[in-house]
Amino acid sequence: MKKLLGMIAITLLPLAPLTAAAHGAAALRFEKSVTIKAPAAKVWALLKDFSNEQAWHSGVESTKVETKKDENGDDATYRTVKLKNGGTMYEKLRSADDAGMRLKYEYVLEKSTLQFSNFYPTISVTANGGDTVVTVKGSYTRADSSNIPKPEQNDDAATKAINEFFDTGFASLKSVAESGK
Amino acid sequence: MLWANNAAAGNFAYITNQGSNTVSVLDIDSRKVTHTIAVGKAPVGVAIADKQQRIYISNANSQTISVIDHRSKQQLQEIRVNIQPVGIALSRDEKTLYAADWEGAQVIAIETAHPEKQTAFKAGKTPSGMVVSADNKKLFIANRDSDDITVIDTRTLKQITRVPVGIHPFALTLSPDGKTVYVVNVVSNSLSLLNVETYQTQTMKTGQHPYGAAATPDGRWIYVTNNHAESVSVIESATGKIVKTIAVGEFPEGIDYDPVSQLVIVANWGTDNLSLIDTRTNEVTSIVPCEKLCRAFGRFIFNTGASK
Repeated sequence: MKKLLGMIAITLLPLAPLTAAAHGAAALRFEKSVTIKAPAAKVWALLKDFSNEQAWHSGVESTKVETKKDENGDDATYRTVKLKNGGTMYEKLRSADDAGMRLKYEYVLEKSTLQFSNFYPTISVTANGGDTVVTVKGSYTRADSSNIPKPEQNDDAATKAINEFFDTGFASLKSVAESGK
Repeated sequence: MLWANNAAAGNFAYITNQGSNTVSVLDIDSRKVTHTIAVGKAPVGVAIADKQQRIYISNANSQTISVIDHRSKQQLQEIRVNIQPVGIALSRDEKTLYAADWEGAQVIAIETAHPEKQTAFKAGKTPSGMVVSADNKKLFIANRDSDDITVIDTRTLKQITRVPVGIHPFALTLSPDGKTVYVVNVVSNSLSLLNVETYQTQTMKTGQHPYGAAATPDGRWIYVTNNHAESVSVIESATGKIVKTIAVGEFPEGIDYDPVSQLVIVANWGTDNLSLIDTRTNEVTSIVPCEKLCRAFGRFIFNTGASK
C-alpha cells in the first residue's frame, strides 16, 4: 500500500507545475462594486470625464488626453494616467454613454506599468433608491501569456494589481462623491 | 405523427465552462442543461464528432483534450498534448483532430483512433480558430497575432498559402455551401469572407470585438457575437448589411446554429448563461444559466440525426 501511494505521488508530480502556471489562453473576469450615498448624476459626472481621473481616484497624480488614429485608422481618445506611486496607465476611450451612464475603455499594457493585459472594463453607474451603485466589470489576462509566466506577470499578480487600483479608486470616489462639494 | 417527431429529435449543445472546469450539456428541445461533465482545467474549444458520437474539448490550462461520449455523457479519456490547446477542429472523416497551440506557432494533428500519435506542423503566431474544408483537403487556421490565415494541405500538413485578413482573426466558420470561410477580426470589428478556392476576401462590418460567427443553412444570414457590445449582429451575407442587432448577455463568445430548432445559441462568458435566438423572428426566446465563464469556442451543437 505504501509503495502504491508512492507511485501515485510520483505520477502526479510532473503535472502540478504545468496546471498551476498555465492560464494564458483563458481570460479572467474582474468585477467590483461600490454603493455611494450621492446622486447618480453626480457620480457619473466624475467618472465620465476621461481627462480628469485624479478628480475621483486618490492614487492618480495627473491625466493627459490626446487624440490619435487607432489601429483601424479611426480617430480615438487616449489618456496617459500618471500614478502617485510612479506608475503609468495608458488607456483608450471606447465609449461614454450618458443615457446609460456607462464608460468603456481599454488598457494598453505596452505603454503602461501595471502588470495585466487585455483589460477592457465597463464602468456603469446605476441609481438604486437614494443611493448609487458603481460597478466595474471586464475581462483581463496576465501580462505574460506563456505557459510558465514570470511570477510578477502571472494571474495572481494581474488580479492583485487590478484589485488594488479599484479598491483605492472606489474608496476615494465614494468619499469625494459623498462630500458636500 | 410520432415517427415524425422521432426523426426530428432534438439536438444537444456542449458548452465549455472555463471557470468551472466543466462542460454543460444543453438539451435544446427542453431548453435545459441535463448534464454537467467534469473535464480538464479551463476548457475552451469544442469539436463535435457526430459519427463517432464523441465530443472533443480543449483544456487550455491542463494541456489536455477531453473526449466525451455523447451516449453516456461522460468523459472517456483525457489526451495529453504538449501544447496550450485552444482552437480545435476535426477532419470531415473524424480521423484527425487538429489542436492549435496558443503559445507556440504550431498546430498538432492527432489521430483520433490512436491519440498518442501526434504530428506537429507550423502555423502563424497565436493560432486560434480552425476549420476543415468540406472536401477534407484543406485546414484553415486563424493566426491571431500575425493577422492572417494559414491554409494547410491536410494530406502533407504543408502550407499551401497564407492570406492576410483583418487585425486579430480569431474564430473561423465554414459557410453551409462550403465555399466560404467566415473570419471574425476582433480588433478591426469586421468579418472577412474568404473564398476557399481563390483565397480572395471580402470584408463586412460587425459590432465591437467580434468573437464568433454562425450562418443559417441557406447561407443568407450570418450571426456574429460582438464580445464587447453585449450583442449579436445579424448580417445579410449578400450585401453585408447589418439588419438587426440583438441584445444578449455580457461578453458573448461561442455561437452556433441548430438546424432542428432553428435557434442560434450564444454562450455569454460575462454573465454565465446562454441566449437562445429564434432565427425566424431574431428574438431571444430563452436565457439558460450555465456554469462559470462559458465559452463554447468552435462548432458545439451535436446533431443527433447525423450518425444514423
